[in-house]
Amino acid sequence: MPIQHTSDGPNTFAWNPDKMNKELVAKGLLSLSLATLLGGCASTAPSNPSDPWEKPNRAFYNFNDSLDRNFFTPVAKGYVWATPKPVRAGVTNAFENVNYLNVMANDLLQGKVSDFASDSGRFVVNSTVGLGGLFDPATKLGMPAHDEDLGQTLGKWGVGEGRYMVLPLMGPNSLRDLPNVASAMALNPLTYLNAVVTVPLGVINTINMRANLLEETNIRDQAALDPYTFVREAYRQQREFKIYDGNPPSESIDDYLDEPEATAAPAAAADESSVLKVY
Amino acid sequence: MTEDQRQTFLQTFRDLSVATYADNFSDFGGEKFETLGHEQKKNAELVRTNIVTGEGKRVSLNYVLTRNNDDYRIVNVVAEGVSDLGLKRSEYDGIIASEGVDSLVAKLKAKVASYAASGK
Repeated sequence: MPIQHTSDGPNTFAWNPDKMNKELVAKGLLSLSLATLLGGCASTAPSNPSDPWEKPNRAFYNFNDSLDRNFFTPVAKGYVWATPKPVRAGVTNAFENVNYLNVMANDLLQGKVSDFASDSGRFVVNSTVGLGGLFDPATKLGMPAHDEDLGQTLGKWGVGEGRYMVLPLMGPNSLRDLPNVASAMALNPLTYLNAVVTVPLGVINTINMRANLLEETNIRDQAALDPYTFVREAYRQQREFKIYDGNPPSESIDDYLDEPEATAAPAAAADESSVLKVY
Repeated sequence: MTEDQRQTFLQTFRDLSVATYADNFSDFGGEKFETLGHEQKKNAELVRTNIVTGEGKRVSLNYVLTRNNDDYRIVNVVAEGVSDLGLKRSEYDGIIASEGVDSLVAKLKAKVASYAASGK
């Protein structure tokens, strides 16, 4: 329902409490995020050229992080405590399976015909013999999982990574990866089921996904000096790695090495890390 | 960066590297390594390996080594495409730009202390 904006009066729309509330909330969130975004643009020079939205991104990162520490992490730990590992593996399998149409579509968009054939077979086998994807007999039958999405497809097509962005609740993303949020949702059969089914499933999926990431966030908490930058760079590098299906071009060994002459400080880092000898 | 700052940074970074790697190895849980191959690039060598977990899941772990005569040194570790050196570089760059070298060294020292405190 479109809202009529007039410069000299309040918005006018028909009385429909349910719908109106949603729209007001959506509008409020939008103007809030726009305000933070614009605020960020007007501020001091960002420290990283690929992250001009660093200021609002950090605000959303901190918001997500406190929600995560106070709510999602404890819930995820409780879930891990309460469920045996095979159950969690089954839940992970099932949600990956239900997302598989998006993988198959992106196989095609990237011209990976044999992957598409294998992934179609995988989806059929795991949805049926694998009891709705809970089990993964397809891998044993020579149809392994692939990891494709629209962001990887756009990357393969030569689209640049675009600005880094941290989405509220969803976390790291980028302009190039954002369209996949919509395509994954559109190609997920769960989207079209009744909310009575999708809401509890969504809750389980969220908790299970968070549980699967506990190890990664432990590494972050141990290693990071600046968790925001740590997560951003890890996200960007891993996306690049996935675009090349784990085989980035060999020139990128230079990125691994860094150029010692580039800047004063990291040069010291590069030098010094070579002190770690292999015994 | 002054020479003093540089020396302090180097010493702190050395301590941190040792603490981090020691800590990571203490988490070893019987995973297997597969060596996939290696390629030479200038004076560096990239070694590609996979870690195979108990469930048969493969995690890509690549090392960059440099060689001084017969002395190989690991200069970088890249896990699932995420470069340890790349992360550190970005983090340190950002902190130096916003807070200065002394603040970076202070944070590194706090990190080293937290590894020591965790008793590993």
